[in-house]
Amino acid sequence: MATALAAPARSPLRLRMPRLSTSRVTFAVAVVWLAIVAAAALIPGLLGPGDPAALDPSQVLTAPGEQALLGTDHYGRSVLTLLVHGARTALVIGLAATALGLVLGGWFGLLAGYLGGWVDMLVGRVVDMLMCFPGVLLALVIASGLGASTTNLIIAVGISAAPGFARVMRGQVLSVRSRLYVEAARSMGFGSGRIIVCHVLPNALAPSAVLATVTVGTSIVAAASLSFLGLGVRSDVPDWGQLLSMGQPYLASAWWISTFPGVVLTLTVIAVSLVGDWLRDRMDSD
Amino acid sequence: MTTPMVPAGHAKSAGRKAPSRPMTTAEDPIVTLHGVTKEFRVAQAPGPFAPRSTLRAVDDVAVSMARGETFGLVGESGSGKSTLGRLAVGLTEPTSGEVEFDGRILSQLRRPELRRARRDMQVVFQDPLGSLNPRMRIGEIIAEPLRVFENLSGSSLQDRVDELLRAVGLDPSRAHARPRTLSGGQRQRVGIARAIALNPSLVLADEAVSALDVSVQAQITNLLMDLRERLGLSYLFIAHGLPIVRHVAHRVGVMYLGRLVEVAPTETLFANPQHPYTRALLAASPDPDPAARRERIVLQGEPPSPMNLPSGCRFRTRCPIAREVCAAEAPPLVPLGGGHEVECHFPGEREKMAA
Amino acid sequence: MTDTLLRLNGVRVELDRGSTTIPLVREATLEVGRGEIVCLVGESGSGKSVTARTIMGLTQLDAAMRVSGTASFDGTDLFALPPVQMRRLRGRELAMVFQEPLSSLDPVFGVEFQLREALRRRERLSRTAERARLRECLAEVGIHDGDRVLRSHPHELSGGMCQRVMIAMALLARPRLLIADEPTTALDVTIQAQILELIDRLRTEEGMAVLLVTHDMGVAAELADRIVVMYSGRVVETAPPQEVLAHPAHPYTAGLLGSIPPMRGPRPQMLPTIGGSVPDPSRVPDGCAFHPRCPRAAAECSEQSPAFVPLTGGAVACWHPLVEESV
Repeated sequence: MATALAAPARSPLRLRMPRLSTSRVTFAVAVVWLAIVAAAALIPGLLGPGDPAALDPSQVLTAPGEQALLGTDHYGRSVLTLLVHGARTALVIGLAATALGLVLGGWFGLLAGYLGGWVDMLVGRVVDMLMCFPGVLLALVIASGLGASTTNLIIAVGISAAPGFARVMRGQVLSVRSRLYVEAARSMGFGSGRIIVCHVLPNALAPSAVLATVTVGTSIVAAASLSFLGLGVRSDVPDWGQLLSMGQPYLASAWWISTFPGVVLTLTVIAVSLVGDWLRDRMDSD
Repeated sequence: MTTPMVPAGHAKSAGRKAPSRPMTTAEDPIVTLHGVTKEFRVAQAPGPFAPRSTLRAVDDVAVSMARGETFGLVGESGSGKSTLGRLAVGLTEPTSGEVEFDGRILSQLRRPELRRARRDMQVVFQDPLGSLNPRMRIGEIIAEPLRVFENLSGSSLQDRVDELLRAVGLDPSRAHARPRTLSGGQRQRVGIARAIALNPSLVLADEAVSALDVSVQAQITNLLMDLRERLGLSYLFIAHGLPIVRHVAHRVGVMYLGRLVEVAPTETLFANPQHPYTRALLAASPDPDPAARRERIVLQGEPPSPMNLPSGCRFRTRCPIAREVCAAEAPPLVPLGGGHEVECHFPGEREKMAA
Repeated sequence: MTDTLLRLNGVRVELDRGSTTIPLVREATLEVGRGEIVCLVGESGSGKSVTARTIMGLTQLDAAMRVSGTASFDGTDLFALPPVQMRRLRGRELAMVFQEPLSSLDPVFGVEFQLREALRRRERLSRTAERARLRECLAEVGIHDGDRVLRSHPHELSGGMCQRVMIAMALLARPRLLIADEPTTALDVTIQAQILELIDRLRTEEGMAVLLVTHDMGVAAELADRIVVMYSGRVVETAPPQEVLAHPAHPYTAGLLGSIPPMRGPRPQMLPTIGGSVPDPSRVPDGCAFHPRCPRAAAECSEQSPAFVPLTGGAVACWHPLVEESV
């Protein structure tokens, strides 16, 4: 009896197990959540009414309730509105940084894997060096060097994601390069450019694509961390990390300012990685 | 076999020309190897700093192939037959010696000339699935060389692809299929269509039928022979199955540990092998013919490591007729007339061979 | 066959795919006598390897496989045997050698460890006696520098050497039936000749029965006391080699033999071929599975599956076997 009752309660960690019978349900929930986040990013007015910058001194630090669904912060801004408007920042940074990392890292990984020799040696050493830093630390160093702005945040997070892509791409290219169909293309007399673009790249892309989905999640977290430390977006742009950081002094008195951004951030990252898992399963069976 | 069977997919029963009998130095050569050697550096252990040694996969081989000829190359794994094939079609460069294709030395060609020459030399690989890009449809695979090198597009490209598919016995409606959905024989037909798309003069068939089922092997062999007649192709036909080589080749070369130890017109080689290794190879090849009465020669031991070759003749460690001189001196190349050459101190001797 | 060791009767193996079942072996009926070498010949997809694995009880380990029919080994019904007893039979009475010698040996352990493990399934000896027994067994399979080989790891040995070790491992148990699944396909012909000679010698000296699975009619001709031909999951012909090779009764057997180029005599311009290819196990034609490719197919061939008809020294499953005319 007890086991039957215990069974439905699953910890969030177990949600990630792909072969559970509930995997379809969790996948659907993840997709719906991402759809909500995407909708918030595209048309924030729809979900979070009001201006995120509108200060209301009469509503400072209101607890969640009728007046403000998720409460207000110390300036009297609605936390819900801030969260909804922050979705755009999170998604833009997550996607742009991942794209930057994929293109930058993928390109060097492709060159290293295909050309081999000293190019491979050089790229390999640089990647090893960058990989010595934890990802966030690297982003932190770059961001503090560049100064705080959305663009710089993207560059910082993107560069710190690049070594991972370089490594994955290089490994895959090395394996694809020795496949017989690449040799066949070479035996036809095709040039290197054509072989890379038409025969190597399409067959080497799958693992990087899976890594990219995961990286979107980690990039959002990395960007939020940098914002939390004050190295992120400008303070007038709504952002989850910034909100987390702002709520910190009020944790004891107004828990909602930090808690809701944290929950939203966590859910989004889990949803992204669930979709990544699904993508990987699809690619494996392909 | 007296049973009449279904005729091959290609009903065209144009008489096969009597095999020409070119000498080792062919009169109108399409490709000539001048003392070609290929070495590889091999790590003796895993890891970047392991000591390396030199593996001589092909050792000073001189041979020439006539235009329109099918030259069969046989030998066991490690004999260097695949490397020799790749050298002959310029897929790899010799460590020393020269490869002459159609009157031009490949190493002296500039890059664009070399790429032009490459179109004249095509390859059909052993593993038909592995040699086809899994992300492309078979129509795209065949169209690619035509698009790149002959600038075909639109309906003229489509027509040529359909024509090629029909030429290899595939229905043009299959052009949208992916390699994975085809059978082994069909995949190899795609590989062949791609190889003949640019009208090459020389095709390297590197174990092209070895991985196929027996009945499919016969279909593909017939296709290759039919294309040879229609397109005037020369084949360098590498295989470890002797019956199939006997069937397709005009001339056969036998390789052992990087050396070409015997070359002869096919019928001569199979009827009257002179090198003890060739004889052992023939004796060991399983033959379902109930009338077969055969020499029983089971070679003892295994081929030595190509990185640590025996002195003198490299076959002496397994040779049933080896004597002292075989360990002391490398065997001479003995011409036996009629294009039959053998590298052995005691060609044709079989005294000690009855077992 | 008066002294039958193994008898398969109507063995059927199906792969259960949930919504559909795919027959991998539709009807395997064959016998192996004591001390006899039977060659099971067929192309890929004929079900020959699945049949061999089913005799060993290996197919059944996969929960999605459904096995029916009977297999009696020296009077014991193999399919009715509880798993524990079947396991005891494997490696003692029954032994198997696989196609890929390198991947059938565990790369992590040395040769000696793996051979010792196999030996201990049969008998417990002192360490020195064990070693002597291993060396003796390696000598039996033609390995004379036994000590070096015992010290080696599989990757340090050549393919032929690994296959000898595999056979030695199978022999340690002194099995009464050795099942060899394409044991020489991955090897060079001169090494293949050595291994085939070895198998032949062991049969003579040890009185061991052998079921050799192969795609090569030449290998079967060399070694077999009896040849069993499978096509698309069914045994279609069985007879002594001289009969099968000289007067094949089934059109498929005839076609298979015809498509092998001759090693002597005139060279034909075109090889006779069997049109089409082996059907996918999930889409086996009705009636005789060979009828769409058969030059002798008539109306009944596409309607009803032919029964086994006895012939000189064997049997054939065909509506129009090739013997009718030669009589």
